[in-house]
Amino acid sequence: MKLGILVNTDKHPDDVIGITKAALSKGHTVTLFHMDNGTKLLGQPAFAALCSTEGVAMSFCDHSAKGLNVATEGLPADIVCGSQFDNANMNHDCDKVIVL
Amino acid sequence: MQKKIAILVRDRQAEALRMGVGAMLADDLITVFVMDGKVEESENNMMNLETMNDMDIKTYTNCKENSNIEYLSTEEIAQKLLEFDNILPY
Amino acid sequence: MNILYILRQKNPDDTVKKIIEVHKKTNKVTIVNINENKNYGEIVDLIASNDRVISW
Repeated sequence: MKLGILVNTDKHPDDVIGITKAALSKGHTVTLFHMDNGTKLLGQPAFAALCSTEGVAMSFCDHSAKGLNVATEGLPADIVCGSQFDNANMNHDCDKVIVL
Repeated sequence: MQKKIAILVRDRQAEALRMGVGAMLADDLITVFVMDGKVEESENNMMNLETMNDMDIKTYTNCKENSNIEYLSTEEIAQKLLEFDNILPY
Repeated sequence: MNILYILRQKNPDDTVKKIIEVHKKTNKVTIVNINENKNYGEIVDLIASNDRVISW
């Protein structure tokens, strides 16, 4: 399964990480798109570590990050500074999409 | 293959509506449901609703105060959601 | 159809309850509250095995 996770809040970081790791351990791939308050999680070390894991693709909405004054300089290069186009592609490409 | 994607606009209307417009960028079939409240008449919200209309993104609401959006009861929306591949409450 | 609900709210509002109620009439509905169930392996299996997933 290709699992998509739309991260649009900063309320469930442990669940995002936990579900992603569980999915990877079962042979699935995971695409994460952060927008809105979800961009506030990007600086957390656990997310920085996750982005370079095989089977994970991570991007965020630059418009959201800028609007919320989320610092994105210095984020790992594996976290793609993107737009709603990345979200649209995640929805198109993934077999299942959850929102956290 | 084109997917059918439902976006449910709830308490964070502006971001949900912005996502509704952006979701069409992968050529999927997008439908937006405005739930439980009148859309705040901000410039961005009005522009996003207008864009949806221009791009033939269908919009429905269970709130009769949204006079420019087709009304469906919550039960009818629940039934309609079963037609979609991805259902994204925002 | 098999539908998985992932609840993010501790107490779902009336609209969510109504939609679940309607879906239960004609579908097999499974509900996971992410605030209570931290068995992520099980949640992933449910996401994979259900036809639709809705995260309220």
